[in-house]
Amino acid sequence: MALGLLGAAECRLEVGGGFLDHRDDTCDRCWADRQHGVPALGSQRHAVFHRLCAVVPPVVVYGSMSQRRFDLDEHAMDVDTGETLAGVVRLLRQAAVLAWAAADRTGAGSAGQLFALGVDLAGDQARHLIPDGTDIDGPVPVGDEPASLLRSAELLLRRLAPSAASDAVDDLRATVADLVWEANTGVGG
Amino acid sequence: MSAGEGRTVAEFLDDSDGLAREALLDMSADRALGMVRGWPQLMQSAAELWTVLPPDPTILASADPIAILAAMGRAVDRSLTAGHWPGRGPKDEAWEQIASNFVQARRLLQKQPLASEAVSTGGQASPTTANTQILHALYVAAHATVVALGGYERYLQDRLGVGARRRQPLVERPTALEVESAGGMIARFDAIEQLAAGSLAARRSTTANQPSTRRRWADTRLEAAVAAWEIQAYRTLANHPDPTDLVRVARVQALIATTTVVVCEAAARRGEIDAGLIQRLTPALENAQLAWSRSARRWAELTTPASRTDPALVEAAGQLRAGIRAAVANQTGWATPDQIAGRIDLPATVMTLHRSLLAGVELANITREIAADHRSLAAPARLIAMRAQGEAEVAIEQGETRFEGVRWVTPDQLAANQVIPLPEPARRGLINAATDVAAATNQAVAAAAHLRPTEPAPRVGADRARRVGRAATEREIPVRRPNRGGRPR
Repeated sequence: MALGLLGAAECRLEVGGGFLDHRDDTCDRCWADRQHGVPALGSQRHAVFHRLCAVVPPVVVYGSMSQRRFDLDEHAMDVDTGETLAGVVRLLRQAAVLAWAAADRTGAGSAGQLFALGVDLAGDQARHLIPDGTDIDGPVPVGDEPASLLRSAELLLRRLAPSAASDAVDDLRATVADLVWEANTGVGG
Repeated sequence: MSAGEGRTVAEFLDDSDGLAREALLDMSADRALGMVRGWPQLMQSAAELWTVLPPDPTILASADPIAILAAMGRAVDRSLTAGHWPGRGPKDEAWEQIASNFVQARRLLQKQPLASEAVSTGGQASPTTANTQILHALYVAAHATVVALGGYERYLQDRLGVGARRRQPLVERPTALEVESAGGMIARFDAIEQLAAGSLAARRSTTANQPSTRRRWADTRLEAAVAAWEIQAYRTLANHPDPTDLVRVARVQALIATTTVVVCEAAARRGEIDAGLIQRLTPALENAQLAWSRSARRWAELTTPASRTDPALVEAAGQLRAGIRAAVANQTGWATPDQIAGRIDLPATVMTLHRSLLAGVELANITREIAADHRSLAAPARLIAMRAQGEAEVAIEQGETRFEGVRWVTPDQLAANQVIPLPEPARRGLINAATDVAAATNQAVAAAAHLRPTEPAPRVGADRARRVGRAATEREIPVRRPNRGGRPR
């Protein structure tokens, strides 16, 4: 995977022999700065460090009404994968916020609700892939269109190491791809 | 055979139906509180009896009405257990007897090698009619409860008025909150009644002459998804929900309201339902959608980055979204009426969505209770400061003096934006939002109460005056009008 600087406003990721365009105003730049092996624009390449962290016991989160009822995965998750998925969650949640704002602006009867709910559910789906205890908090992704945030999320998901790509990740990838398509062709755009 | 004094299952069911009818004829406000308290037990025994009856081939398993009715019964039980009006106390004897009948009928059926034989009595009954009898008994019992509650509400209002005129001590007067609680309970039982009535009507029309081949794939999918969503929403809200769960429920309910508008308008344009009805229904549904959306935004303020939505709720919402997309949407937005008519059986879908609206009334009430009861609700200090101040000012304007001069957040909490428990004024905002949702949903349900797309109706614009006139004279809005003589037969 190589990252080349193409200009002030655009970066291009080489993935699997092809290129994926990526506008930098839609990506989580602070997140990208913290990624291992994925340098921020203009910086040098790093070696990829795969570390393992054991999943911590259930955590009662401030602000939640109860201890959550999920059975935590017993498997360990690669730290890079966890951080990537956390970035995906932030992107999807911000996309959902924008999509709902657009639907609410339209008023009663907006067909945008269908799209916004889809983005919300994709965010939930992504959140479930991350064990409790993983820090999800981070900067709010920059961007004012759900479509571009969704594309960024799709891009991140494609970059997950194949070993980390479980069926659930594959499902999420397909869901986000569908939403990108919806955003580009339908009411969500 | 003699699980209960040598009686048969059919006799138990007949007796239950008779008891419910007698309660309705009695129309006694004195029994209202006992009826509410006895309802969860009655409903649970009905659901348990239902499970031992052979499955009805005419009804989609996932859209089984008893599941949602049972969930609503459990919701009432949780309210009572949590101390909400009318709280614990003596139960209505007739309701206890009906529950006992259902229990004995179930035991009898469980002892029989072939349940259908046990249900039949003299060639009159069959498993399908047993199902219908149970639903009918529930329908009449729910209606009787609404009638009794209506009488009790009027009694409270009278006492309130008399007490104020005679300057009785406050402790001897009912509170306005009690009157409001009675009104809220009427709305809940109205929804239960209408759900039972709708299920009953659907069962009759299905078993009578509606060809099953008319049902299409998208229909079945949407109906199953709606039913699964309702049940899952109840389950999630009953199980220590996170604010993010409440956001999802509110958003989906808003979407259901919008979808109902789309389907009803398509049905009206195709002449499948009364065009005059749509003119009343559409604004009510739009209000309900907007109220749910406002509620969603309020709950969203309480979510944190670490919040998780119940995965089962996400799954159910995803299925519902897919079902709605397949039925009424296309790439550019909502599908045209002709497209929709080509995909789904419009009258059947209208009824499905109407039943879902009824469940929405109950969900709104549960949301209000969660806002009032959950002590662990918390939010960042700055948000709380803003919300609490706003709500406190509104309350002060309304004459509430307790909030004057109170600081809800300390400077340290503000500086750190610490997550702190919700103070009362901020909680009131959530409760008020949920109350608005309940009222708006209830109005939509009332406006949709007479959606009975079983007879040909004119297309939109055709002979509108005559149809509206008919609607005005023959139809009524049932909400909070307990004395609707002779509806159950």
